[in-house]
Amino acid sequence: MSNERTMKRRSWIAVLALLAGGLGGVAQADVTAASGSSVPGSVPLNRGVTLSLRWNLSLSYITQPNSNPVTVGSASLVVGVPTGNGCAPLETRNVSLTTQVNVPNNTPYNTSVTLSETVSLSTALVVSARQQGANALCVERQFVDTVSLVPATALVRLPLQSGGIGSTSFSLNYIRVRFDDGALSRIVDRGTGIRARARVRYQGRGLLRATWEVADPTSTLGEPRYRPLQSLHRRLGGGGETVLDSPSLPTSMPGLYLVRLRVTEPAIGEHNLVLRYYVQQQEAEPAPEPLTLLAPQPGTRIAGQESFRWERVPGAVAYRLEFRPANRGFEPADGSPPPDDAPPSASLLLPGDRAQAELTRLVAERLGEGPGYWRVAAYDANGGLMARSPWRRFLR
Amino acid sequence: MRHLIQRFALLLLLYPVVLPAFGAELELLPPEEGFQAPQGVIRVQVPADWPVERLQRLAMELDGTDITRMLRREGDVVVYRPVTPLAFGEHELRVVEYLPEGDLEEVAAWTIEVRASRAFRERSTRLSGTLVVARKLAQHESRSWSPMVTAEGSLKLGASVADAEWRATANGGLIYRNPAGDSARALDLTDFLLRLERGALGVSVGHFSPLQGSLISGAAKYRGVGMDFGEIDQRRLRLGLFATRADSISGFEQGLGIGDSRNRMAGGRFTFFPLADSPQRLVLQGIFFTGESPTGGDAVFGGEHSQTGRGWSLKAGSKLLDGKLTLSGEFARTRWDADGSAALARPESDSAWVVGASFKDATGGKQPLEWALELRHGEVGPAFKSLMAPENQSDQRATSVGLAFRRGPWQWGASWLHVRNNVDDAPDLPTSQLDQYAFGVNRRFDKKLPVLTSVGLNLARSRGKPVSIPAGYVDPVADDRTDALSLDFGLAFWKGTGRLKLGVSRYDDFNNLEPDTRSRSIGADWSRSFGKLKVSPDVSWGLTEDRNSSNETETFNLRLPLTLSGLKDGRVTVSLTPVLNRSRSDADPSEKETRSLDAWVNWIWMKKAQARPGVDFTLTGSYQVDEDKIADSDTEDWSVLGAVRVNF
Repeated sequence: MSNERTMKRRSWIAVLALLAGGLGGVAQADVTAASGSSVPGSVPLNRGVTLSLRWNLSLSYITQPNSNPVTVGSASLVVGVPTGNGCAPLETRNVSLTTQVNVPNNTPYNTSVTLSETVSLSTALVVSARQQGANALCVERQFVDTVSLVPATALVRLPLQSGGIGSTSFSLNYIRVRFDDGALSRIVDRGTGIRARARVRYQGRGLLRATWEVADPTSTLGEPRYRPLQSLHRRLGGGGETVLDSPSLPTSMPGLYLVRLRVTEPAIGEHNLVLRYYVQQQEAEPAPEPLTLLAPQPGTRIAGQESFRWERVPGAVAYRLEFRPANRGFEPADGSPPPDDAPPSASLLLPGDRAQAELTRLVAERLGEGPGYWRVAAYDANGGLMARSPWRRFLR
Repeated sequence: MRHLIQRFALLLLLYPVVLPAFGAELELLPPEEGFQAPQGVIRVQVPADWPVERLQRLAMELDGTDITRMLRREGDVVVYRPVTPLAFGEHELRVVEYLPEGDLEEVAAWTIEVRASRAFRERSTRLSGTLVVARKLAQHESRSWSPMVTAEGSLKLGASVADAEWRATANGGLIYRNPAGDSARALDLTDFLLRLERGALGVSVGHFSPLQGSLISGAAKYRGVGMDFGEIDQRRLRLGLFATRADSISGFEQGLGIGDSRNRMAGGRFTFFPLADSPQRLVLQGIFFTGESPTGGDAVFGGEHSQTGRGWSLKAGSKLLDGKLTLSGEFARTRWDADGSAALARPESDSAWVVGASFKDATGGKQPLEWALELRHGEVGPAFKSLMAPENQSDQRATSVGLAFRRGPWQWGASWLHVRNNVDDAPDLPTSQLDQYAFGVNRRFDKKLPVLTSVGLNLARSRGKPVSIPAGYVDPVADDRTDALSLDFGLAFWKGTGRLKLGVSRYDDFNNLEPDTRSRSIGADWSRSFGKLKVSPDVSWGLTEDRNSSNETETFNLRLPLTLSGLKDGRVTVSLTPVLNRSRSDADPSEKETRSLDAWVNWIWMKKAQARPGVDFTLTGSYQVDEDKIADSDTEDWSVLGAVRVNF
């Protein structure tokens, strides 16, 4: 912290020195014009933001300057509230920004330079500006060079945006990358199906370009080398949130894997969005073979006497006819079948020589009225799950 | 009647003699081992004096599963041998009688405790680990140095022990890698959870979800300490208290890492089901939390100032009309101090609310038409912030309508979302609105077509435009439209399964600030096992055209993983994965192409067994070329690694 302060002090002194040096020179040249731009170009009204600022300077030299190269720069940055013709300071940061320009012999010489920097505005600053009644913030710098004391002022106006839907600039506010079970790192068996999921919140509208990449044990045993798994080009609009699901992650080779979402547009600066998972040599339990349901057809109304039928599974010693009512919770959405590991609320156990059954009254009473799902699972003599059908919808 | 006779033929067979005496009851016989093991048989003695007519009407149920047809006779005892091992803990076994008038009457009911041993109801440990030492045998790496010898490993632990009213569980894992690389720790702790339950009281240490989803919180996992109390089975009332870190973290620096993060959060939650036994279900939920986030919480960029805040939410939901109508509502309020000291900005309070209703029904006979209508309306105040969305773009009013139909294999759905901001009508800010329309239709084919298993069509439109712009407001306000069409095919051919997805989209900016674009994409994947060989290729292509400049951006990805496993008595696995990635952009004149080929052979020298670890060897080859056609520069990397792995 003290080093940082010392550095700031030194750079400030350096800029003062260059300004003082300019006093002795002749007004042979000027920073004739200065302008700035920012990505994003606006500020949400209730949170901080990190800005990528670009300052464009036009320089003009009539004669060869006394000292060459010429140092061009700004000693401080002002963050404030726009006024009629300037920027009323809320905060002044003594952060110098300089570059050097070589002026050739064949004057007059006109050129332009671009300086870039990253500036963070805190939530408190943004909220404070809004509480003072401002509808925009501004960032301002004054640029001079060593041969002139006539400054050129560059100002970037940053309107406060109420909600993201009207914003024309595009920026990402938040990225949360996790495995599909919410974990940051996992240890899995070979053949386990896992995915990563990124929750992205954004402001404004624009094109999101990102790539899911994975470094597998062929490289993580040395220097990790990421390879693309899937490229994403998604046009986002209106501000809000989008979810990016990765394709299935490889789990065939034992060892350490790294997976990341590399965002190429818009720029989000340095980030650490890497998940780690380790695949152990042990094979995951194989997924049960698919079991084919024959009747009743999906969406059939079940009155009670219908016969549930399925294709026999060779070697099965028992079948379990499973039922689960739809929409048990309070969420109104009812479109998706239950997950594979959802337990049944009622079921009927049958010997392996049967491939059909009717709904018993005992099961029907437990199931109740309303729409539901049914499926069949086949078991071997050791109690292992041999085959299982997907859930099929019915009505009651 | 035929079904009834079939159903109880077994019991009829068991008791061919009808005896006149009454009064005796069914009796659950004690297990032969002295305790009920997961696969131990369950025996019920039936009184010999029960009439056959009554026996015909009996059925037996275990944990909601009708097991009547799996019963066997051993002497005068009815025996059930579990098809799958029963879980440790209590199970409900009951016998019911179908009364002639149609009702069910419970004849007998028992609670069976399945135990691991006499000492503990439950005792299990699952421990698996891997330790690998790898050496680079050859390399040509032009880009970066990497170490010649590396070591890595993993340890996964799951344990549980329980008896009487208490239960303790532990789950977690460690990942080790040395050297660790720039952005990772050498030893990383995966998500873990230690939990102790005694009666209705539970204590958790580790990663858990302390808050359920609401306007102020998501259901994310956090690391911390939590305590909950309530009737878990009845779900009448449940209370929870927690103190956690307010961001999800991995690894650890000190101890279990509970104190590693400076973002703190503490609070409580209650869930109350006042009508648990009534068909009109009702749930009431309340959440309160207070938090401090010196590092800016979960945001991509952390702020330098501390943020503190608190929030509460009350939520209610009910189901009416036999569950056809669902009503829900929530009101939430938060108070945040952006700099923790009110030095610069004053603390701000604001609220948000949402109400929703959905109705679903079905009309028709054998193949009825199901339909559902869903409505939601809510508003978020300008200074409302939440854990779920710390950067929430506030001050919005949103209304959504969804309509869905389903008949047999067909599904249709349509939705409309309308959002308007600046609903507080700040006079110096513009007001915008966004309308999103979506329509989709999907058809499944259950074994009726040879190749196609499903087809789906989705259309979407998003339209954003200004509603009012105050005089003197000079900044642009979004005025644009995005249209998208996608077709999704499920495929099944050559005994493999796959998908084909086609998409087109167009974007028009009426401000002419952003280029208008047209995009097309195709993606396909397929997977099949040919005996020991598994093939799972996937390919994708996308093209985006900038209509203003005619610039094009094109991407192409192809992967063809081939895995041959189970060779030499299951000891050898061979894998080969060629990959091609190409990216081309007229605007960014750096046409890049990456070609890579990974190959590895794994030989299990000693298979892992209960009493000894397993040892295997892996030889890995990796080759990659990055080709920049504009700069006419190629970068070639390859390496060969040998690794020995111990699995325990």
